Amino acid sequence: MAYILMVEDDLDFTEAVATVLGADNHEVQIVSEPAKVIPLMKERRPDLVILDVMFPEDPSGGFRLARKIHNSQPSLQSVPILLLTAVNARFPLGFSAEDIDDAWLPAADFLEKPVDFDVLREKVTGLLEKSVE
Amino acid sequence: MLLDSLAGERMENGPQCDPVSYDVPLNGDESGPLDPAASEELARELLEANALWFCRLRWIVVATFLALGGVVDIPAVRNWTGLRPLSAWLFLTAGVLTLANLMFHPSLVQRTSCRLSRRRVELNLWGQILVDLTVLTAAIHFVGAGIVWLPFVYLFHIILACIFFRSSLSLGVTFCAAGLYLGLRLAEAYGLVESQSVFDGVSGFGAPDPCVFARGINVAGTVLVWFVAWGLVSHLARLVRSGERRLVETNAQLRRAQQERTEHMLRTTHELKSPFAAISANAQLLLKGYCGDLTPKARGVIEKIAVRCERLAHEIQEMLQLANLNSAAQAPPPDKTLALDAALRRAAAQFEPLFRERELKLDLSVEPVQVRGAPGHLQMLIQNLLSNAAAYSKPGGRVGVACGLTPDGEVFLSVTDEGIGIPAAKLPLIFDAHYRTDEAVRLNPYSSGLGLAILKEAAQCLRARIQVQSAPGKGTTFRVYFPAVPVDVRWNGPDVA
Repeated sequence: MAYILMVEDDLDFTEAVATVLGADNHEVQIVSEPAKVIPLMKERRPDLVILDVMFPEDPSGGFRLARKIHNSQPSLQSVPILLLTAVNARFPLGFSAEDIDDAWLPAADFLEKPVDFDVLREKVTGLLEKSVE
Repeated sequence: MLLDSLAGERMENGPQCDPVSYDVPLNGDESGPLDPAASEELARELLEANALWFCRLRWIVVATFLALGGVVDIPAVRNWTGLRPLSAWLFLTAGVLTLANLMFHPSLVQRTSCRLSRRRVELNLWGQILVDLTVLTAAIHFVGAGIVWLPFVYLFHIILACIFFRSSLSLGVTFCAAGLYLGLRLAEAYGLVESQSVFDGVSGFGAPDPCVFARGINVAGTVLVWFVAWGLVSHLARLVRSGERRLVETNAQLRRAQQERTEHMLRTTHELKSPFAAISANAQLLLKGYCGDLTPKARGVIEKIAVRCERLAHEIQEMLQLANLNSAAQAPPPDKTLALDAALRRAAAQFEPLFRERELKLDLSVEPVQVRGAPGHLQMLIQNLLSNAAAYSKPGGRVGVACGLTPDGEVFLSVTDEGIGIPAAKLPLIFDAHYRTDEAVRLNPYSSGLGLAILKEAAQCLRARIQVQSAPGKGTTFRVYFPAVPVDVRWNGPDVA
């Protein structure tokens, strides 16, 4: 059982994902505002962060948050981040192609919406196993 | 444009009767909005062509002067025409004009600087005009300033300056011509330089020497005609230029509108993805049993929702791909050396389940070849070729996929199917977004009709050209020709396998 923090503003989508991951015995906490994520992570370190990129107030807020997590306290830097977003690798909305370069953006993996739940579960399991190693 | 099929291309087991070949025009070949930079470049090229034309014309004058210089020294010719010996100044003038051509010929100037800027082309033309006016004035002096038709040769330069330059500059050329001609006539009138004539007395083409007043009227009238000619031609040139400016502005507006439309489509399509992701996620919840058992009827309804979700997901993906390919806001894609054979093997493996489902046999015949471009563009191109072949093939058919080198050193990729084929008249339309032939709609009613539009844009990004060969009812071959990878980047291994 793992503790997963899901940062996403679309509750209809998030609740469905939480149901699927909950059925796999994971505890999923939903946060809709990126600003609240780091304080929450400091209170309790998650095993995985599932992160959207576009938020209503900041079209590339997910990118910014991923970098913040990476530059925060050492215990949080190692938390794997799975980007789960409608933004795809070639979508030029305020950021350029190099923005999704692995070296620049500290995310462990990337999944594009709409997502197949079997693929999502496989990714989550893989990332959690890697995280334990 | 319909072309005969290329001889020597492989079509084993492919269409056997009357296949028609079509070369897909690249976007640059089509009449779309011209961007301001391209318009500026066009104006520069026109000026450069004019500078070149000036030089060519001067070579003709040089040849004429040299020929005249040779002929007029023949006594019989001199006796008949009444000309004085004039070979010396004819040869001198030809020499000066030759020197000018060597100085100003654009291709000679270009050897030192790769390409002339518009400013340098304008300076080049100015230099040529000034040299010509000076040489012309000297020629008029030697031939005889009183010869009535000679000063009108200045008009050529004035009119050409009106066409090449804006009004103020062409007025400058007119004043230069007037200054040089009036200076010559005054210098001759006041005895500062001795009047010359190629003719003995008033014989030949010369006119009787009139009185001073008549000469003054003659000179003033000549110069007045130049200024009238300048006024008329520069007015016409202004009208043409303002029309040209309006065209450039309209082009720029069209480009902006096209770009905005693409960006809007990109955003709208993207905005569709989020609510759609929620619908798809909740449909999956129900179907996969996360909300308990469903009645058969409810399951049937949800399955329909899921199927439509899958189709819509595919369509949104295609719309985004096309909008991305059209978008100028896109960051420049990476230019890498890509192994085409490896990319084809990978795609073939990915498409294997679909081909099996459609009972299609995939023949893969690849040679190790490389192309340059963005991996994403190559992937889009191959995926659309294969999914198109799968969608429009008949069950049990064969799909041939090959890549290699043409005898010309181009890299080719071909995908041949034994499907429904495309009527010749419809070949030029199939790359338009959302266009589908009646036969295609009957066979595959749910396709978005964007696949081939994406294929064309992706090929454009890869600097590749597409050729389609098809025979209705027999099958279609799409061939993509990539430019040869330069030797200096064709190293021991590609950037991307």
